[in-house]
Amino acid sequence: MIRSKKLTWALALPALALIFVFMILPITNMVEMSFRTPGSSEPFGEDYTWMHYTRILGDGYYWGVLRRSLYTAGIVTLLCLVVSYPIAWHLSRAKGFKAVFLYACIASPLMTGVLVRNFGWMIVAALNGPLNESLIALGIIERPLRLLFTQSLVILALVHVFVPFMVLPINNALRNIPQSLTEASASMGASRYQVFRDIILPLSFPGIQPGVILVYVLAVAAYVTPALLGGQMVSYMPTLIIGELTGTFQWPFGSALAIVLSFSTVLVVVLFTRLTWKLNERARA
Amino acid sequence: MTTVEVKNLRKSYDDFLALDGVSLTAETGQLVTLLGPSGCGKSTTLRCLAGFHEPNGGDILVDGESILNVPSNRRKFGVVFQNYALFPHMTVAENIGYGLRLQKRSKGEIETRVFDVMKLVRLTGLEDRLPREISGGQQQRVALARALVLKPRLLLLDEPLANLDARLRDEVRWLIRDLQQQSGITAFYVTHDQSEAMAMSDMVAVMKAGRVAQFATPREIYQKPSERYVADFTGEANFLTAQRVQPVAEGRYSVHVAGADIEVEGVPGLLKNAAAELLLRPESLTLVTTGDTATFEGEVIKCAFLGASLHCEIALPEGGRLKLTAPPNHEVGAGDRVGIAIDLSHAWLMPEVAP
Amino acid sequence: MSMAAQTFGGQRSVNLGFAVLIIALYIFLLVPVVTIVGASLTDGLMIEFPPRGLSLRWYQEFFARQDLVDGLLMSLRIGAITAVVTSTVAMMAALAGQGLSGRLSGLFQLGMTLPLLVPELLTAVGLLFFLYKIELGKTVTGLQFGHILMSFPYAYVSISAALRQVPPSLEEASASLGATGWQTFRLVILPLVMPGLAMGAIFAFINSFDLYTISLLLKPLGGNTLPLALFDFLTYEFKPTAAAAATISILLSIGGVALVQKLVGLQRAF
Repeated sequence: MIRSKKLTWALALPALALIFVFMILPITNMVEMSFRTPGSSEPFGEDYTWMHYTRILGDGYYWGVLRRSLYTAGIVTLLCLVVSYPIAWHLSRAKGFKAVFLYACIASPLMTGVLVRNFGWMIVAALNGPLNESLIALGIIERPLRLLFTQSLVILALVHVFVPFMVLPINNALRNIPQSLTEASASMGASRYQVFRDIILPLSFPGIQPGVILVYVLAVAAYVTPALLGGQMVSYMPTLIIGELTGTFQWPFGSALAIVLSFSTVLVVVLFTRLTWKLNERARA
Repeated sequence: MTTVEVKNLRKSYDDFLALDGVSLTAETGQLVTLLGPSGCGKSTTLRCLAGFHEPNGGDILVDGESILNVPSNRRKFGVVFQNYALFPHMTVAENIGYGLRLQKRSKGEIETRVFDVMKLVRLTGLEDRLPREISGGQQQRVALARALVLKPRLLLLDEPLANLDARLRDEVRWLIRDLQQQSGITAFYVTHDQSEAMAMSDMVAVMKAGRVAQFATPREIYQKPSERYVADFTGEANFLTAQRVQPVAEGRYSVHVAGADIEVEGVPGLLKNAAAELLLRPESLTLVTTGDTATFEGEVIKCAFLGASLHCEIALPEGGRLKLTAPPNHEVGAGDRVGIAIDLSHAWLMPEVAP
Repeated sequence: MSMAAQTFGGQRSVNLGFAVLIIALYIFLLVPVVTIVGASLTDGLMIEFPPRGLSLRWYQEFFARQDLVDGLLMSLRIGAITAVVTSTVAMMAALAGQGLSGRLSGLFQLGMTLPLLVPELLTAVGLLFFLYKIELGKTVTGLQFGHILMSFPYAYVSISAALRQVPPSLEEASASLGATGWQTFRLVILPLVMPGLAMGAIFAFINSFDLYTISLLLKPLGGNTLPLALFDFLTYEFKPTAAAAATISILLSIGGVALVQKLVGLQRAF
């Protein structure tokens, strides 16, 4: 590169300023906010306190919601992996026009807003919607099921939202496995299943790990889907947080909830990364 | 003990004929080389043997039985790939022991057999390294050991030396040949390097556009090629147009070449006055002073001093040029008139158009 | 697939099972989108799929609703500004990123994609307080900054990927021929990264158009983006107008994807 240091920093400045001013500062500010006392007429008070954290950690209700959020995100991530792996495999084998078409199929949900897609699920899952009707037509159920505003539908819709985030990194990892490795394995006597178990699965782990982490982090904090499809019956952390901020205007308490949620998420991710470190270390070629 | 018979093998992709009737045989313990430029079908043939490609026609018999319906994982052939195809997430020992693990051998047996084969290819001490932590030459030997440890019926090697530098290539080449001969495994070897093919093989199949141009011993391929393509591909060659072809015995002809009448051996079955060319390898030509021992006379166009030898190009008065190798102490230069003696027993007459 | 089938032979049923599974999964991916488009074309009074008769009446209804049309216009305006600003800033940042090496380069990459990696909710909450503090709370300007921030990584990733395809020797060659830095950029680099730049702008636009959570928290007084307007609409009236609105945003996305395919090819884009 023949650019001077000064020019490099000058070029980077607007982007760095954008990220710093509108992301790093606000999030730092939020941490500070979580220690503020509640305000009476304002959304927050003047003094600092631990009370929001002691309130959250001392209340079984919040523990329950937190556990549900972390757990649901785990289920969503797992299902997402199960759904995405075959798609990624199929995509990684495709060539030419077929590949373009498949990329479009996978990219179009990514490019369609979360709200719009959730709305689609509302129609699908309606009492007289296509899902119930086809299940009845197939003779699997007799009377339509109430699917809307259930936890299952929230999970289904979240899986749908995050599939592209999982498919793309796994697809990249699979594409990087040379065909000669599977051929070598087969020539040494491996069955199709053994080739998958011994070669493809371990070598695709460098795609699985970032996919799992990204989906988990996004799923824990997903707001729109539970808000739209979850109804009033079950609470998740994000709906609780937004409620505190826009409904009751408890900014400090809402911030503390957001920080507890982020902290727990980071904990889960660190744990996952440590547990799978060895798997990844070897496969990174 | 394995014999292989490839019969009229055909393979086409969408609109490309990759194999157009390939036939070959390998006797027990032979190393058969498939030699040719890229795109000639040599790798496709090997991949059909390995079971990675399904041919559209023809047959492959191993010990007299067709293997086309046997999937690659039950053929019990060892394959060594050009890029080695070592499993990057397994250690050297795990790579070599992988096939044995699939066979559900006991831990002790795997350990001993892996140890033995690693000793054989001189890799002892590298058991716990990952492929990316060892050198290219070592990786190549792991690939070889991995194939050999399973005692395969047939060893298939796809340009195994292509990614090594010249010095290592020589070393590994002899290792492969030694191991193959010691264990008596029948092997197929794909390469585009004629010297590799010459040095290692029992039999060489020179391939051209999906067909076998000639299938013979290295000596025959070099000295008695069936056509100009083969002669060109296997080494430096001079061709002179031959006139007045006259068969004198089976495979012997008298011809008129560059002003001289000579009697030479050649491809059997050439007819009287057939369009033919005389192949003269540079080493069968000797630079002499003009006079009675000379078959031809000509003018030196250029000479390159290479230390151990002198490479000269000489124009003949009747047209045509000859390249030859002379001893380095000869003092000739451009413009000199020289005589050339031919070792007629190593001249070879070929048809001008491939049969 | 045919390769693998040959390699292992004789596993028809496994192949068939896999094919069925794959088709089912692709149906799962496309179902919500197809349902919405179908439902928007109904002639009936209810949102249902399959539609009852075909008509465009709900699109007429959509364009007659001032709140939804205002939402659409606001989303388009914010999206357009976001596309222009992010692609410019991201182009500069990508050029800067190319000049960095080693650890610093990795750190820079991470920083530039931060808004994508940190959950939207967190950023939105932080911004809510911060904009309030700098007196941009509940303003369109504040919301605009939020959208620029959230869409920036998409533009950055596309543009820096395109820039990586340009061999550094071109820049050196241009300089050796006497070009200034600006001339090299304008005459050599810019034409080569143009498709990537356009792709970045398209992605930034589409992302901005789809943002929900951040818009909800930073919602300006008296203004709604289309997703916000749609959510409100859905909460009070469950009519096919909503499906028409959703279809319009789907069409925009599909148009974007098609444009990206035409410009750079989807395989390289993802």
